[in-house]
Amino acid sequence: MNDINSFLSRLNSTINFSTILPEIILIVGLITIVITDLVNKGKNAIFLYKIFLISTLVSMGILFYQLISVIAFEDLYTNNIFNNLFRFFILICSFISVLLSVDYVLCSKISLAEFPLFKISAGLGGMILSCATNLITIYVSLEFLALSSCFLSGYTKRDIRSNEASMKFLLMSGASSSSLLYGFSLLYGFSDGQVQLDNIIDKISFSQYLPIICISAAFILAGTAFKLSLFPFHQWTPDVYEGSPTRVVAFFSVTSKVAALSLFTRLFRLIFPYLSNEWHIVVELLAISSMILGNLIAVTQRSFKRMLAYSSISQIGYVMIGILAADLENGYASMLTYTFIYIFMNLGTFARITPFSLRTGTNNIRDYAGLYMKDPVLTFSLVLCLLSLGGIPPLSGFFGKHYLFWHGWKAGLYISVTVALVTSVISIYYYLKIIKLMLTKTTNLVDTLKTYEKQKSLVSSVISTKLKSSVEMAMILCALASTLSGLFMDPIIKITRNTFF
Amino acid sequence: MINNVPWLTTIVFFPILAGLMIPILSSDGNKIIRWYTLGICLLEFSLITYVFYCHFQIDSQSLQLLETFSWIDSIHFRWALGIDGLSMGLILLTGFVTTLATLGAWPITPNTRLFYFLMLVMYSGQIGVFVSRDILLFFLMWELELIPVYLLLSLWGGKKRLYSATKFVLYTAGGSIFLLLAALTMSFSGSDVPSFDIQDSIDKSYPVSLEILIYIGFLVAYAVKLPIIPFHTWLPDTHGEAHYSICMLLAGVLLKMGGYGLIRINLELLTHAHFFLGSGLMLFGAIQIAYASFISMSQHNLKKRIAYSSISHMGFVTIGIGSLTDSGIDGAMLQMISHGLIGAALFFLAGTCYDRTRTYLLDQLGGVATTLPKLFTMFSIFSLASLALLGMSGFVSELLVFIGVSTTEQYSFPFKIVITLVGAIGTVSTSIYLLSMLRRMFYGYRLVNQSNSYLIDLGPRELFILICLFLPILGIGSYPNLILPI
Repeated sequence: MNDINSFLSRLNSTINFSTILPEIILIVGLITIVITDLVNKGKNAIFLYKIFLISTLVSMGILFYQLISVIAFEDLYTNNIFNNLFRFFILICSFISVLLSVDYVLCSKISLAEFPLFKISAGLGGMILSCATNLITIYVSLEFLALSSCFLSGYTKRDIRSNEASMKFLLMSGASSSSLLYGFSLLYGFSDGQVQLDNIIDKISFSQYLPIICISAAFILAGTAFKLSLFPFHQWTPDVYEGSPTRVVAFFSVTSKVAALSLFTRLFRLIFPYLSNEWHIVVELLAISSMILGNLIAVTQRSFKRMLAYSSISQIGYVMIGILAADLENGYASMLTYTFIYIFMNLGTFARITPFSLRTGTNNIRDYAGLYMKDPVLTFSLVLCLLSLGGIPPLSGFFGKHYLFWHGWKAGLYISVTVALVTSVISIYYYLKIIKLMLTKTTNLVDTLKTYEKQKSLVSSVISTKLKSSVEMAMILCALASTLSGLFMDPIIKITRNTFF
Repeated sequence: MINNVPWLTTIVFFPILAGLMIPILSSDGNKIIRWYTLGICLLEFSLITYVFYCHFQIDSQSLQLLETFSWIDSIHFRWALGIDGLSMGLILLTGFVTTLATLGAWPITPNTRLFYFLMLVMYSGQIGVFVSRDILLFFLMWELELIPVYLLLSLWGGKKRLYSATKFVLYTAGGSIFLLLAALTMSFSGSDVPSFDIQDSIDKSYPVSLEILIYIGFLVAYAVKLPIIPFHTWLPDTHGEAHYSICMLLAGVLLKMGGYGLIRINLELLTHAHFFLGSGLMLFGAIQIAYASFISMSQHNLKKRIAYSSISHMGFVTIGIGSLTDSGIDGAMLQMISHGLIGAALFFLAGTCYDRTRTYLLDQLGGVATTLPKLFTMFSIFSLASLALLGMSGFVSELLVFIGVSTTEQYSFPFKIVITLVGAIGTVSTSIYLLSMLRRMFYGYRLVNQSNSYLIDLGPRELFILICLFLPILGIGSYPNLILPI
């Protein structure tokens, strides 16, 4: 009894529970799902999803509340606005991507419990990664995220491509995590056994060990750039995106990128301030090549998911400009704003592809021809999201890019901004190609579309909002966000300003 | 009292908000949508004229009806609107041409809702370009045109429409990059607080080389739009393939956006660079007039012929702007307005002719004068207006431009002679190709395989549109003082 009491009191004093309350809620949700599934023996799947949704919503609510009042920090965790924002983003990602997957599971009735389980665990991993300032915590949460994503991508066991995708993902993520770990081990060694990031900075004498620090920086860069799918560590992205089931791709295309962004920023800002010129140049090079490569190859793609994979590579290139352009006055505001908008744009696009591939079983871009005739709502929301990705005013993608380029130009990154603008124009081309295909009526509709049936719960008029299907809800939400959030960007920017550390 | 009402914001937003209501209207019966859109356009146009008559003083030099709302504070992006004489003329032109284009689009049947919605979006965007005082807002409105035109082209165009639509978008978007880059450079240099407002930028002064760079940046964007050779190649394709009401919009208003931008930004803000590069502008403009008219002579496609004639007329605008004199700039402005009207009319006529005869090729259109007397009359009138017959507005504007060229003190005498000569050659060849077009179309023997029953003459609606377009042309031609004080 006494032990428990003393244990609890010690626990209470060392960890301020309210800071990790969102994560705790998620863990509780996780355990509930497992138990419910065991008890119900695989029936009543919707209930599991509802648990997931509720737990994410609750933790979002608590996080939101915390955002308003910054709470003190602890050794393993820091709780400033930067971290909180990222946790919030990851929660949004999880929430919306679960909305996408409900329908499919209803239709196909394959093993239901593992899916939300892994989604929650991946979300948890991402959230912890956003806050971690301890080398060990970083590594553990990164692995958590990576392994859960591996399982998710190999989720449909019968599909050969899914197995291939998960195998590729596992191998590559293992290799990159080990290179990250090697970089960490160098840091650990040279700072006299410190794992806490702040202490590492204090203890390492940079002038003495500069070459070693550079090597460590290179390894860490390799490790994190894999997750971000920057060039040249992007090779896994198209294959994994094409092979995995679409709703899984939706999820980890945003979640792992957002989490990796926070990791990247934190590591490179905190640990290597002395090397800032060097890594600026390297990151700028990586960003430029990602943008060029991503956009150019996306032009020639025939499969929608592969094209989106390449376009997401280029989007991360744009975000890198935001990281490079951070300064004292504005913090990482441009990067965070663009990430926020990117989440909605990307998830919105996936939200439309998912029902389409469900109903027609294909991912070929050619099969989207003439979609306007059969399903105008889907077409229009897809058009909005694609145009937002391309950066056309007055959608929010334009404003996000604009803000990024404004910051970049102000910080003097002339080459990067010019390249980004040119590649933006190229990206408009391939997005327009899809839009044109969808809107122009072809004389003989593709066979797949002839058997296209609209979801029974979707009412075709725009005004009546009888949305029984959650995918539709996700679609509308994302479409609205990607259209309107540009106009109301000012409050978002104000929130994201104090994020320089 | 009335000054508190944000007139300009209303004018900009009204069409697009009304357009968002279109999906509510029932889709059975295109008539409702057409009348609705027409009503909105008329309402908008009357708003514009009301603002013009009641709240606008013609004599004052400065900006009026200013409105400023702070929109995104962190990058100093403000919703700043304001107009002066230049914008007012162009806004009136926009309202006029767009209303008539909507009327002219009556026979379109597939997808009417989308079509009219896009027309209204274009309406808003065009007016937005002419009233914005903030360079970022200007850029936003400029880019706003891209997608509606792309969609309008690709859904309702001619045979090669997809190719020309993509070409249009890529060309214009590529040109706009330079606009953004130049705008960013301009705002960040020369002052501590970055500002995009046009008023602030006037007061700043830049080192000359930087100014030239910025000028060239803006110039590329305007050169694509205006168009100035060699960036003009998108225009024949686009205009050749688009439906004629969209052509009216394109030729009537979109091209003027380039000229407006040149005058507004390059002339007012970057005066030093303008002195340097003005001669280049004049040279290009003169070459453009001659070159485009020569190409136009060899075209077999009616619409492409008129498209090249548009390019040729815009050459006058370029010369006028490059001449650095008041009369030259006046001539350029007048030419913009007059060409807006004439170009729109010519495209409309070509389109209605196509509706009748289903062909654009001049070889197949022969001798239709006897069966289509009204079409013939109108076509002749507008062709004569286009070649600047005395009494029409084209004459006044070209005269002013030439006066501007000859009275400018900045350039050497032989240079001026060369420019005037080349311009004169262009004018003469304009009349050549226009008259030959008329001759081929209307006079001569009828071709054997023309069936009689399809050739109905102009209906009352089309006649109405043409007369509406004709009256201002005549009016401005006879009494230029209507427009010039602006």
